[in-house]
Amino acid sequence: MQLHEIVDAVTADEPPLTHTADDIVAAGRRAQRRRRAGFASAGAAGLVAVAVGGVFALPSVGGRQPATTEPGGAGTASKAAEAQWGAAEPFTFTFQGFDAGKFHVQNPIVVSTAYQIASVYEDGRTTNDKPVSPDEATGQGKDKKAGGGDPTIFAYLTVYRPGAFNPAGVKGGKSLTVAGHKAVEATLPAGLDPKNAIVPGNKELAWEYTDNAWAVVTSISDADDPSFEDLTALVTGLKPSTPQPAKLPFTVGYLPSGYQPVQTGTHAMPGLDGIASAREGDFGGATFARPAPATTGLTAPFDSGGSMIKGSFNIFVSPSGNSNQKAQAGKTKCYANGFCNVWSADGKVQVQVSDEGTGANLSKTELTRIAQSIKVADVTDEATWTPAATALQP
Amino acid sequence: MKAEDEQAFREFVTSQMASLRKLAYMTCGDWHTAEDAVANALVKLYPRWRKLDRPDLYAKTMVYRAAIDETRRPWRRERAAGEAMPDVPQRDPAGVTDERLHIRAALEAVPPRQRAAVILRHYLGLSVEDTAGVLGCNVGTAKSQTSRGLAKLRELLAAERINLTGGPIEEWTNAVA
Repeated sequence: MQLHEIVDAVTADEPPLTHTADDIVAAGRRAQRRRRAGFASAGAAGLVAVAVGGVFALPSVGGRQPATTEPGGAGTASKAAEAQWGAAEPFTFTFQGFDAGKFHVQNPIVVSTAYQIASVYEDGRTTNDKPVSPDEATGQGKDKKAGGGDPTIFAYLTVYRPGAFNPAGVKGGKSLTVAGHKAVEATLPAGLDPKNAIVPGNKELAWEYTDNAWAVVTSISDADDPSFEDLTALVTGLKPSTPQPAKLPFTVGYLPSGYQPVQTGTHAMPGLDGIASAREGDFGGATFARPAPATTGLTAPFDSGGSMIKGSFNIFVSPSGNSNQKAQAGKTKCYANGFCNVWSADGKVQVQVSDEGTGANLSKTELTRIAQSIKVADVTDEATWTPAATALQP
Repeated sequence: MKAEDEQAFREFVTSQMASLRKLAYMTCGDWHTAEDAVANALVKLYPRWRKLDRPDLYAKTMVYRAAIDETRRPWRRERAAGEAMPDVPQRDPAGVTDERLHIRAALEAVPPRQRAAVILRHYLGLSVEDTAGVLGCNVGTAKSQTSRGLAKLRELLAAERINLTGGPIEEWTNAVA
């Protein structure tokens, strides 16, 4: 008996495939959307972004009032809170995670020249910021077959530095007052792409947490809830903390002329991709751009809606197992799409430098030079990590 | 993804899914787990499609790794009903099912990595270099895993009076022994 006969005998009771090629393609599209600023429609992910509030007293009845309503007594609480918000330097975390009713705001992990971002989880909801199982990805899980399973949400809180956010620029925004703070609420398009139709499950609530400084909770949900009223719970939960410079597990030894650091990820990829994959176990990353994007007049993070930051390149430091490429211990390898990898001597850590899709069009020589200039700290020991402001300046 | 790339991906999935599931099944011994491993690997492959020179090898590697995770519990024998292997082989008068169970039992006794090496090299026809890539080891280790797997399987089948034959098998056994 030959080996193929052995295999055929053992697999003679092979059941029919339960997934089709169309299922796989559809799941691939969903996974790609989730990963690239995911938050896309498709009913797969929900996204909630919470704004910073600093108000310690809840209004006696409800949290939302028409914009024409004066905040009254809440104004005192607002001023008290504002007094606690100090200067927010770039690449500095100024708040910590907190619970607000059924929402659980995590510590911020992404920070830029204009804002900080933290994941927001909700009780009873699945948050797609970790590798999805085949069942989750294909929508054919046992829970879903049984009509059960948690609905999904993707949510994050963006806390802008003073002057960075422009509430008047929120498309379709409705002004109101929340717990004594000026606020704006809006329903968002599919994929957060302005070209798409509005999706009822996609919402944002923005509020002024201190003078001229706004926080925004963005929620992409596969259901109509959470409601705007639900989201106001976050306004009173946000409080300032002692400013902490974001730390990175690497330092950069070379930058092409004119490139400036734009945003970072601590224990995450930089930007919204880092929020979309917050629990994947990445070590850190940074985005540089030439020119650096404006830090005022913003209505969303630089890379919202799946867009890349023009003229940028990214550094990703991650476990090699998280990579798309097979580890080659101690080696450097560049790929045609515009990225280069350097692996640690033991092959466990990968440094990737990529300008794919950004229009930066850095040469292979430049990408390699950047990648090889990066020194990685002990990724398991934050005491060896470097504040971003230092780490990103050669 | 561009339409033409997606069509190429779709055709790849259509042509490879069954053989990938067979690889996963031969590694973990459970059809449900095998299909999960394949679906997961192919979904991960989608956004990387254009970046890969050898998507077939990437898919096999991902499938193997997903399936091998399940082998901490040998062959998932606790899931006996329907899709999995029976806990206790049952004799049948015709002898056909009986032989199949003996073959399964023999394969079960081969360590998962060696079993996967044999399947990759001699059932799916991968080169030794590609087999090493999928297993995540060097060529020498891939050779030794294949050789040991074949030797073990041959020995176990012989005990059941089943003779494992074939040119490539002899070639490997002789070359690596």
